[in-house]
Amino acid sequence: MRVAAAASLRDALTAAAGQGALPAAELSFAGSQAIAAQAIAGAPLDVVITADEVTLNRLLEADVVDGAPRPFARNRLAVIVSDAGGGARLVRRLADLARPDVRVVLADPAVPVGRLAAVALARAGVIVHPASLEQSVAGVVTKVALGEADAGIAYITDLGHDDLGGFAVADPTAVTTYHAVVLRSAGDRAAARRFVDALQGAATQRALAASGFLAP
Amino acid sequence: MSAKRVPAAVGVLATVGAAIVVVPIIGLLAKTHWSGLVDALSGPAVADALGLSLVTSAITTFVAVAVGVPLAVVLARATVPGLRVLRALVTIPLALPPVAGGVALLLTFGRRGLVGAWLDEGLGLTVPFTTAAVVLAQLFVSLPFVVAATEAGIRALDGRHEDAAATLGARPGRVLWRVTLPMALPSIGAGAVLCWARALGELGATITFAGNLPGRTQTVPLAMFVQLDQDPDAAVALSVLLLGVSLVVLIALRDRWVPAFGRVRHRAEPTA
Repeated sequence: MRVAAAASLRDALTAAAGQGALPAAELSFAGSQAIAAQAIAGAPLDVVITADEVTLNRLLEADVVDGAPRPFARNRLAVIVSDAGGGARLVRRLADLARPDVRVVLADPAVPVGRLAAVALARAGVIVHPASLEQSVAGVVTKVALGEADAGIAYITDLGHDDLGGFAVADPTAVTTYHAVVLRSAGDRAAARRFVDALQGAATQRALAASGFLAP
Repeated sequence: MSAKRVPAAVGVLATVGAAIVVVPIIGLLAKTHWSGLVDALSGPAVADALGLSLVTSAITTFVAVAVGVPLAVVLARATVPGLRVLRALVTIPLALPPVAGGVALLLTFGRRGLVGAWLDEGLGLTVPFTTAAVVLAQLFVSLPFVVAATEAGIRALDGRHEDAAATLGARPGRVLWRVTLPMALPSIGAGAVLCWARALGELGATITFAGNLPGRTQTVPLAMFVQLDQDPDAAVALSVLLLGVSLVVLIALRDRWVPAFGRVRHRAEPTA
């Protein structure tokens, strides 16, 4: 069974699978928009997990989904800074991202975290000139963790990994919901539905909470 | 061999070989929405990407020839030890996945990289996320084409003309500039065209090392890659654009500068 999930779920879902909380499946992770494009183009996937509703709607409109989408977790935006770089010193508030001496990396607005970040920055009236627009939240995290960028906007679940410091974005709208869907092209729909059910199961929810995800 | 004398089996395999390249191109052109093409290509993002691609690939080719030809001369003619190792190293980018090349560049020229840390602290220069990084990424993957083609061209020369020139009193530099390189020019040209084509299409190393920002680092391949997930029609339009640009340049160069790749034509009388 093939499950494609948003990049931000990598650590939590891999841990849950390792603990036996999820049925056996081949897990792959990428930007939600990339997964959606592949699913719509007919890639052989059974379950798809998106990090926001815009991408979910694309799947629904393309009529590739079987059954109702299941929300099972939420995440909040966070500004991440590299402990080793200048970011930790220079960036204490969201507005600091607009400073000319701070190198910021964001995700492309097509990526859920990028879209959410653009909205949050606009609402706060902060104008950022990013050095790069990454194609998944993993790209943002990598660039900041390597010290190539001073700061970036990712999720609270990324804080504390790879020596990343930072803080949550307080804006109440800076939260996104993960949905899992079974695809029409799934080989074994019953098995795919069991996987989706397991995401809402107690064991997986514990693993998600341990990684910092919010309840659905 | 005339067409009559090509064995049937060879003809069949040749057709398969041609089809492998030609059929996908036909597929691309068949699925293009020609009526919407002009609209899809007339945003500022496309103009930015195309301009960036053309400028960076031109700079890359120029630099690749400027340093690649001397390197090829050394590999072909010098007698110092370790040349075989050097040749292997220089050929590595051809086999290395482009993203791996990007990672290598990032770890070397990144702000905490081997060279980059010194550049950052000492000169305040950062390389990643700049247009210079785009050129570096392209250079890394396409320099081997210039070196390999030029070295092959120089090795194919039998040395008579160079010996004659030396006997007549020309110093090594003059022999090189007036005899060797002019005779190897077709190979240098072939290498330069391959280099330019590879640089134009470079994606993996660029996206890893230079990042993705319209106007500064988003070349046409990157724009295509990004659009594929959002607007497949736009991605197709960009593919057709790149195909068109490549065809125009390759056809314009034709046999004038680029005879069949690697085939070396000896000029009758080298200038001395």
